[in-house]
Amino acid sequence: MSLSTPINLIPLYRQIKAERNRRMRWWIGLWSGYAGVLIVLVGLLYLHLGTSRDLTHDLKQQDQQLSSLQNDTRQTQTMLLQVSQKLLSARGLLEQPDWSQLLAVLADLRGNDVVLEDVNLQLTAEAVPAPTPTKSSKSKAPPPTIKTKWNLQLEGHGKTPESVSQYVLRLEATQLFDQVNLLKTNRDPIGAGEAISFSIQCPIKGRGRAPQ
Amino acid sequence: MGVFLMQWIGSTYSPIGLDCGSRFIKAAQIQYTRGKPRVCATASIQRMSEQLDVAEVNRISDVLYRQGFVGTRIAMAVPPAKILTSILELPPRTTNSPFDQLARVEFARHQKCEPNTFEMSWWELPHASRVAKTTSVMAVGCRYTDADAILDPFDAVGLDVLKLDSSSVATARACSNVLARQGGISAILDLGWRSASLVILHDQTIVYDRPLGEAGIEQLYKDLSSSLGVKFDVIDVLISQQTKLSSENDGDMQAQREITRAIDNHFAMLLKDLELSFSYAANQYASTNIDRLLLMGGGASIPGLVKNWSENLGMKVEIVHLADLMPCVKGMASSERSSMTTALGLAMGGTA
Repeated sequence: MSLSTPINLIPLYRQIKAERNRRMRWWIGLWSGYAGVLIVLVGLLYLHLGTSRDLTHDLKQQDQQLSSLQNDTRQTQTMLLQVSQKLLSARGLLEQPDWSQLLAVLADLRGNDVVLEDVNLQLTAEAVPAPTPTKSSKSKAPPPTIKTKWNLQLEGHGKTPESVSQYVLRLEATQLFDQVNLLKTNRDPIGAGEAISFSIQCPIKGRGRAPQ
Repeated sequence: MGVFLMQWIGSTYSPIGLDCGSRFIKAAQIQYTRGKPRVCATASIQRMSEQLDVAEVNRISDVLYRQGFVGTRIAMAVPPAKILTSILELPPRTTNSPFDQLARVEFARHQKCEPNTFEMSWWELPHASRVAKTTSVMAVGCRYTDADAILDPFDAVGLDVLKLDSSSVATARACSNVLARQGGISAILDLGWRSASLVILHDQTIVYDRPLGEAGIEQLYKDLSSSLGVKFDVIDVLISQQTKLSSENDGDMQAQREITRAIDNHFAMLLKDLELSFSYAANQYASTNIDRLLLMGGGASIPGLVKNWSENLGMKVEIVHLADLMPCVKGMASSERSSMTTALGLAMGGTA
């Protein structure tokens, strides 16, 4: 059939050359496309790796920051420990009576006629029996409670018996003590003259507490 | 393969069919959308020079670009003056016979040239009514020197000529949809500017291809120009409007008589040639009659030609319009033209 017969009157050598050129263009196009796809893939990969690199960098920074914070925490914990110890010490000091003030008071009260030779402070304890239970109650008797008390004992010399008496009165006037007991007085020769030795016991008001 | 690729892609374009006439160069392109073809662009470019040289091809390329053609692939026909056509009688075809070589050698003998100096193609003709011991083939060819002269300017401009076809085959290809029924004989007459050509088809196979050298309408225009003293452009208008000329105006009447007489004289010899050709075909294939004559080309639009020839030849004569052959894009001005047929056939064959 003539209408379906392929007719091409272009010389064969031209057809071969044109076919070769077409194939070359096709291959160039194919390889260009392949190169383009590769470039795009490499670009995407680079972008992806760049992002990963950023993340790694961030992670490293975070690690450094974390270790720095951990160091700070450790230091802070050490400081906190020290401060706690100081606080505990301070608290212990605060809860311990300031006996120097007592000594200052004792020194101020003595005047010019009294000399103190011995100041002794003792913590004493005594058991206070609990109240006896009534007959109706079946419960056992409670254990006795322990009461502690500071006892101040002073020994010294006064010029005269009046000076010793005045000192005892001045001690009572401070109202620091439950009572001021003058235990003994003696006349002692000192050098060419003589002085009155005395011993005073005064339990301090309030409940005593064992020293820390 | 090409059509499959086009269908796969969805929408693509055929090569530009380029029919280089002696007065106009006609171009057509087909767009395939989901495998359905339609004519998407046409152009009729007036020739500025006789030679199709680099400058002329460059100008054509620019016009094609401006007219909306897509791509640089071209399918064109060998000009009538350069095409070699022969009917060869070869020995009976057997499976082992080197039929291609035999046809080439016989064709070279017919055309009086060396067998290795041309490109050719051939097709077997249907068996004639008379009993023959030979195989008849129709061969078309083009010399390498002529083909190079045609193709070199296109190469220089960057246009890629994919096919160098026969214009008769391209015309018949374009008309394949409107050709005669199976087993019938149809004829296609291309009335060109400088020449005409007659193609007779039997069972959609070209069995007769004859150039009618003096039948081109250029001679008619020259005769009218000398008798009326007007230019070709005016003759164009006079011929197209001859049926509208007033019968009351003496001048118009005289011009109409002159034109009618010139047309009758010009085509009288052609009609005799047509009758001879048809009788030859009828003798060759006695069992069939010629169904109809399809008219195309610039001369087909001469008013009154169809009616006159139908009466003289005693057969159906029709003008083939572009829109009859293939759907066109909406609003295409050339859809009613018949001169685009060969260009369309070239575009159709460019993808095969």
